Amino acid sequence: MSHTCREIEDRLLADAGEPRPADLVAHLRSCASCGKVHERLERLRAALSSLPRLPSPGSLDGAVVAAFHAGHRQERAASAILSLGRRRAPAVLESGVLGRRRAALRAPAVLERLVEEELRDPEAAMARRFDSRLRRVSAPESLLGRIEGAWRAPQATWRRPILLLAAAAVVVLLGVGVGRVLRSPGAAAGTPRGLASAEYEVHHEATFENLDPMARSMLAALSGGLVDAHAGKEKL
Amino acid sequence: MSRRILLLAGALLSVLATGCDSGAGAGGAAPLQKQKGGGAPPMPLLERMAAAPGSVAHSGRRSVWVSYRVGEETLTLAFEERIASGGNGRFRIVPEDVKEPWMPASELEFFKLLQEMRDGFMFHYRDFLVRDLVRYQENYETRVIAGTVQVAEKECVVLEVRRLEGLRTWYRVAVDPETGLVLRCEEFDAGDVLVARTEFLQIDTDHAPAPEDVDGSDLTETPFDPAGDTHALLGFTLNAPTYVPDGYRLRRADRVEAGGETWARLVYGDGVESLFYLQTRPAPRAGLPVPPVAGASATRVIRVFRLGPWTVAQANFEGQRMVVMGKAASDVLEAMLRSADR
Repeated sequence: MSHTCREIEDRLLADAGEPRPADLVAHLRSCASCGKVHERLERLRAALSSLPRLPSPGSLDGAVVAAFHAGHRQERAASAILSLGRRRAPAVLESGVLGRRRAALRAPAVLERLVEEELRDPEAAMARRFDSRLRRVSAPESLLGRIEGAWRAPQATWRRPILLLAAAAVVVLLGVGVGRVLRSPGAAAGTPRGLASAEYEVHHEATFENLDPMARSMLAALSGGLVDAHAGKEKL
Repeated sequence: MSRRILLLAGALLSVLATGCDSGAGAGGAAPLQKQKGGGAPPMPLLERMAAAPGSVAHSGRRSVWVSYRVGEETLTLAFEERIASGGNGRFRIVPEDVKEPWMPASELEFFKLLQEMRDGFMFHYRDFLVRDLVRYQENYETRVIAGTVQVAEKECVVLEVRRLEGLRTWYRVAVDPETGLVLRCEEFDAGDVLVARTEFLQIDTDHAPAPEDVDGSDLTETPFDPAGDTHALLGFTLNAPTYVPDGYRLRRADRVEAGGETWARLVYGDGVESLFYLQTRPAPRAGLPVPPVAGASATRVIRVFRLGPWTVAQANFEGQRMVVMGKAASDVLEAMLRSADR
């Protein structure tokens, strides 16, 4: 299909049912491809117009009306705001704003502290922020037992802080690991049941009412047209 | 007559040459005779079957019968269609008489138009076809059934095609050994119940169809590289599934315009069957609230639909509408959807 033919098709679609200008008619007569498109469009238009009229469901009416009104409300509000006359702010407001501008603006203390920490040690600050988002999980009993045993055993005092740090690191790493498994579907490639199915609700639908129009259209083609041939059925 | 016997014998042997079992008990491997027109090297039957629909010029009439279950109900569609392929990638499928269900004239005309306008999609994805010979040989077992059958006055070899693992539906196909065209295909469900049949009633492979008879609507989608900058092409970032069932691999990635929306459509194949992954993000319309989308919910809901051997799993993950469909178990499709949720 040439560029011209593409334009002709666009014009045919845009002006379906309208009288065709002479240049369009001439092209349709000389171009078999566009002629066929035109013929199909006309047949489609005729077929559509001959279909029995069915009332739309009440819920659709409501949704359309609500959307229409919502759009109008926004338009009305926008035009009302734009049409408002410019007025000077009262003197008391101006003095208030100017007064605040003059006063030295200070960030809250907590923000200053956070910025200070960030500047002092960016890596540590990032680790703290990341750590706060991790999901906490309990360490295995055996690990806790070992740590407890190590605490009770007589040892040099310098070892205790190291053990504490090691235990904390294990807990954090476990948190990271479990969190990743839960969040990353790719981690379970090859074993669909290994995914965290608890995060999803699966609804087995008895009818096609909620089937996406795109999926419905493809399913109709893949089933040889079965879905469309029985479109009036309750389930479809 | 002797030429036909030679062809049939050659077909059986060539099926064996591509690694099939033979119910007929034939042994050895031998190439098939030269194709019509001579010159081209002989191809084993499976290779020929893979290439035939697009490369063998033919025209004919065939019957299509589909009987799928939806819940407890069985829905049947039976109609005839004309098919023509130019052997050069051009084709056309035109629906004719609809035998079942009965439709009023206006609905019938509408149905025919719909069928006609999606003949490209049906040509590529509806009918049984060896779409990828390497995958086919990895995933499927082919059995040659003893004897031959007549379909549209052509003597055909009969093959049974079953997936080695996973899918439990299977096919019995009658193949014209001369051309590799599947002249009859029957699909059976896991309980060996016939659910679909496509059969040529008449076929002409001696004359190429006229050009105007093969000007059907081929796929018009725009292929894209799913590993590239998908946001620039689609308007959203493609979340291709990271989980794909065993035996499948990506065959195509297309941008599809439908209903005023842009969709990404990935097609995965196992040699015969196709799994489709669809994704879109509706663009908000100025001045109007974004309409609620079926499946949208605060919790992550996956909706599953069944139609005969087909399963559809769809979800709306934070505004991204995603659909997976194929002849596969529900949990497999759900896993694909979950793996695209990121």
